Amino acid sequence: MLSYATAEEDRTLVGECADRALPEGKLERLAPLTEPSLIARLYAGAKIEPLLEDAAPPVESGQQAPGGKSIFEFQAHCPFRAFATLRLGAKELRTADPGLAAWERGHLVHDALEFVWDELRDSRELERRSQEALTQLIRGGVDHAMASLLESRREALPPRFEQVERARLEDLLLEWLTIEREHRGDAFRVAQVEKELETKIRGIAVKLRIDRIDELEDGRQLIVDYKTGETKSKEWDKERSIEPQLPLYAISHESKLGGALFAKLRAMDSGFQGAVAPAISIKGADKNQDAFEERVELWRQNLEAIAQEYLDGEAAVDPRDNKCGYCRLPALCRKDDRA
Amino acid sequence: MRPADHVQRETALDPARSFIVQAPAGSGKTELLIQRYLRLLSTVEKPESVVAITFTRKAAAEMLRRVLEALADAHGKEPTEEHKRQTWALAKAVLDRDEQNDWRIEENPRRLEIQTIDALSLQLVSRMPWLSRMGPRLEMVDDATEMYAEAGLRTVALLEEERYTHAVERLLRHVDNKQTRLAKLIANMLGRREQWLRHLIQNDIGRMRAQFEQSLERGVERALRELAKVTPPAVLTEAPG
Repeated sequence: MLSYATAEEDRTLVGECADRALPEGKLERLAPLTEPSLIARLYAGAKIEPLLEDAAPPVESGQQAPGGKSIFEFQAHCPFRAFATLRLGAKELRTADPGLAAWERGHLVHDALEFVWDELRDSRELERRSQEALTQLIRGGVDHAMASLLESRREALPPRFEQVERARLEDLLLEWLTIEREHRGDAFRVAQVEKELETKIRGIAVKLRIDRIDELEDGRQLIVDYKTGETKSKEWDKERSIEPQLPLYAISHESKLGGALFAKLRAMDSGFQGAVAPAISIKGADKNQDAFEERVELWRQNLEAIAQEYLDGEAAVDPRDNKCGYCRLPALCRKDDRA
Repeated sequence: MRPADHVQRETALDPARSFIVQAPAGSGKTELLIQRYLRLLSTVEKPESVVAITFTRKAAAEMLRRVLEALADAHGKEPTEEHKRQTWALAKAVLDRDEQNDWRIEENPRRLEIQTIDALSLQLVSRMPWLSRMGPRLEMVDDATEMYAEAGLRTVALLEEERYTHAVERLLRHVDNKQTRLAKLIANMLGRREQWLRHLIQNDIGRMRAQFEQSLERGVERALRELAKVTPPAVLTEAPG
């Protein structure tokens, strides 16, 4: 038998060399190989029994279901993701990027705004202050936020980079306060910032934290979540919502709620997004629906159904809309091999 | 029968002159190139003295294959077809040269310097380690993504160097001070540098800007024309301007 390569990737290899290597006349025309390959023969004799295991053992009653609030996002996105990440503990490897991570930049915005609202307290004070005074206040907020970050992350912020970051934050926050002033029709006071809450949903213990709670003059409250990345408030009403944070808070909140809002702080793209009761006026928030209470009730049903699914051990590899998104598990779930 | 352009074909084989050959696909450009290559080989002391450069490895391999084929055919009888005779004669001359100088090309086809422009550059660079400031163990990579990424990051890091602070700061403000985003944009540009490098090396910022703005303008105008096509005339006249 004589065998040689005829091509490597897109290159044709010079095969004649192989003939030439043999003594002249010795090489008769050999028939090309027609027998099935070894792999094909091995497979032909094997008995293959497909088994698809989509169910994990249910979480035993009385036992604490691991995962907390992450359960809701992961289970809704893909049951296997919730099972593998939260019950099996599969974790992706973290990679280090230079500079600040997205969540650190988010923290800067949170910290600065916390400082600013500690001082302002309500919309009346916001109206009263001049642009210069607000700029001054924001600068104080940025100083405060930077100082706490620099304590632990000096190496991520060389001096010039820190300057650019400060300038960016100041512009972003000034634009934001303009939006708070111009896009809201009702007077409000900031009732709470960084408010934590513990609750149970179908027995699953969940710890929540909300960035801000505003109170209107009639006593109704608005929950506000600062977002510096993507905002998808359209997700809230979906049966399998992959953005469950605010709905979770909304169904657990004890005071009378008037709405839930994302405060989207992104350069050139800032604004409110979310859902409010019909009588409340906030540009960007959706109110063309039923009463807000009914909406929250719908969220409760959806979230409880997702929780139950997780408790029952439903663990199919079945990403919603067939999109894996940021999930890094495909090496484990072998989704692509299942097609 | 000789082809109508046989005079030009003949002229293009003159080793004392240089030529740019432009002709439609299938008209025999590669054949002409091979003939010229053979012609040159028969005039040199060492086969390495003639360098044939292609853009792709596929083209280089194809050319090498055809040259070796021509040499193999030259061991046989002269063909009767006119267009094959020329190649045969040139290859024959190379075989004579081969024997005279003991080249043994057919046993060592790698002696023929038919290669890609990248391979040639690599060869040059590794022979001049001092001038190129690079060690001898260089390797060509097919996928330079990682290196582009590294170059992107290093460019962003120039922010802390006085000379570049202003330029990098401007860029960073454009991308909301996202270092990794900027580094990625630069890396992507490096992967497509054949599209913009020629503008950049003019070293004339004003002219470069004019050129870029012109192509943006063309894009905008094209979009506006498309829009005008699908817009009812009544709306068009109402719009100011």
